[in-house]
Amino acid sequence: MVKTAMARVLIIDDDGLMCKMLSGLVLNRGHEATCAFSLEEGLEHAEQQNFDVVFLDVWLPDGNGLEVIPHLRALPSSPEIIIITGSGDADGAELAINHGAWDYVEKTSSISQMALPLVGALNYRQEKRAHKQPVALKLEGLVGSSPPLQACLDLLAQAAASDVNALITGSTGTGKELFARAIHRNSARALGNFVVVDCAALPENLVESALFGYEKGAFTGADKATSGLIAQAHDGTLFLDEVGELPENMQRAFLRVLQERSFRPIGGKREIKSDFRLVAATNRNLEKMAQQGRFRQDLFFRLRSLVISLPPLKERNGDLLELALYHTARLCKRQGLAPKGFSPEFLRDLSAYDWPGNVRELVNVLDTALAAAQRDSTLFPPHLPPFLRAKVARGSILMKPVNGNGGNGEDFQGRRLSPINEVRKIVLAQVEKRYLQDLMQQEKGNIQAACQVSGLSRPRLYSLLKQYEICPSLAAKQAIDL
Amino acid sequence: MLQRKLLLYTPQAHKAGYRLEEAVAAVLPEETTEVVRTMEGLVRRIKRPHNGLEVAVIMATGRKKLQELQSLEQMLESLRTILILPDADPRTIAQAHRLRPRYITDIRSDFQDVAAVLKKMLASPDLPLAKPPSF
Repeated sequence: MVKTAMARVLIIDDDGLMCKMLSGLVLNRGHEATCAFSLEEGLEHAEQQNFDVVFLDVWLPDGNGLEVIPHLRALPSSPEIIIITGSGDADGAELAINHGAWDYVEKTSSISQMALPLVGALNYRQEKRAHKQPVALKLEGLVGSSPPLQACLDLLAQAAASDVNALITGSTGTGKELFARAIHRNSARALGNFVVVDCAALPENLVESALFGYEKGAFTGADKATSGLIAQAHDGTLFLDEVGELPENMQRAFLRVLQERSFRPIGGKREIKSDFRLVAATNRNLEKMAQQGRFRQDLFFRLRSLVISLPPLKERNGDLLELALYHTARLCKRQGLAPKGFSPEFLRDLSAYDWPGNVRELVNVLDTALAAAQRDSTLFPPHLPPFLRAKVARGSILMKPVNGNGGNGEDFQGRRLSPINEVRKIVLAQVEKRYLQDLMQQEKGNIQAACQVSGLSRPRLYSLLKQYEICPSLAAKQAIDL
Repeated sequence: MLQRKLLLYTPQAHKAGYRLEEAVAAVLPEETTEVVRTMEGLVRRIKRPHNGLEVAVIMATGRKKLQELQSLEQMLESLRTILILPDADPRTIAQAHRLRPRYITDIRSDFQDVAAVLKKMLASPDLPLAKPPSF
């Protein structure tokens, strides 16, 4: 067994006995152990020190441990997470792995059983460090240094170093095609063609001929043989964009191509080989589509050999400024303009906006701002599109308390009334915020329970909590204090 | 008024260019299309703010024209591109793929396929129905 260097282990569990037992386990192996009895305490420790492994209980007094796994993994040390589940909790174990945990241990396990995932995680980290060589990737257009982006770049490097099928997921505008091109450019196939198949743009009756090509006379209008995109990708990369839009009959045919690495053009008599590397992208939940029968499960399994999930822009803390600088410089160069600066208010508004269209939307907004600024050397808020300024302004108003004494008109003395729609939105937001605060207190920060009570989906609840800056763990603490 | 979403580059007085324009006009209102006829015009247009442009359909009448287009690779990045190629030679196709087009077709086509792809790309309830491709 490889002797590992001294590691730092954090144990987050409200059960004092479990903490003591795991601490003993860690110390006996020559490592450092730190205990925390709540999520809040644990996160505080994790943010102040670099831990290699975190033992994390699921049910804590101030929240659900599974929900902080992405936060812990996004920290600079990106610790491996070992979830502590209840005995016989198969659902908990599955959830733990799906949330990005390294492994899980049951509370009733023996010491030696609990030690196994710890040793495995530490060996893995040691080997990763030993073999980690800085790789100078060609990252044209991929800008940013936030931990979520760095994690994706690590996967990009892995994908580029091999020929495995890669699936890139993420909302619209997050840079899926940029990543696909970077994989190709950094791979052994960089000199081959990078062939794009836009599955969403191809009408159903064109997909087959576009992919497979056809022989002369195969149909009316086929007056000469034409190669298809699969053939054109030989020795290169075939990029299936919006793969979820591929028609069902084409999914079946393409699966065969993936299995056999050969195909027959329409009207052709012989099979043609094509050695291509496959990268696919989607903004849909392919796994859910496969479960619902809307996408072939066998094709889905083939596509997801290596999955890169691109974060939305609002989760790439710190990248916004870097991206804004890069794209403004690029756009100025394209348009033959002198470089522009940003006023603090301009940056403030960029930071306050949610960016539902992600980086693509940011680029479009900067393009619009440059057009509005013309020869001005600095960008100010009035250069931004009106819809963005309105949304940011509304957001900042909703955060301020509104006086409730409107009955006798005192609050409106000397002030012009806003349109009734605006007032309705403000009042609705106040009610919504109050409801969510009460909900999280009542359910002690438990997201699952809060979803059940409110009828909101998990993503929708998270979105509203973020909108109103409500922290579940804090709300739970307030409930305990009451 | 409909926003201009399509940039169409077809050379002046070219038979295939007329065919392409006709095929596009059958599926998209004239007001949504900006037409340029020279390489200089194309360069000038894509250097300016795109202002809602989403797709560029570019006809390369020869390999030299396709070569010239390579210098526009970065500027065309934010537009979805449909390329009309002068021939089906593998070297021509390899050059074309450097521009990462969403669809490519041959200059001898009747461009019904281009029209069908455009209609899907720019799908809007306001747009008229397209004629089906002639396969």
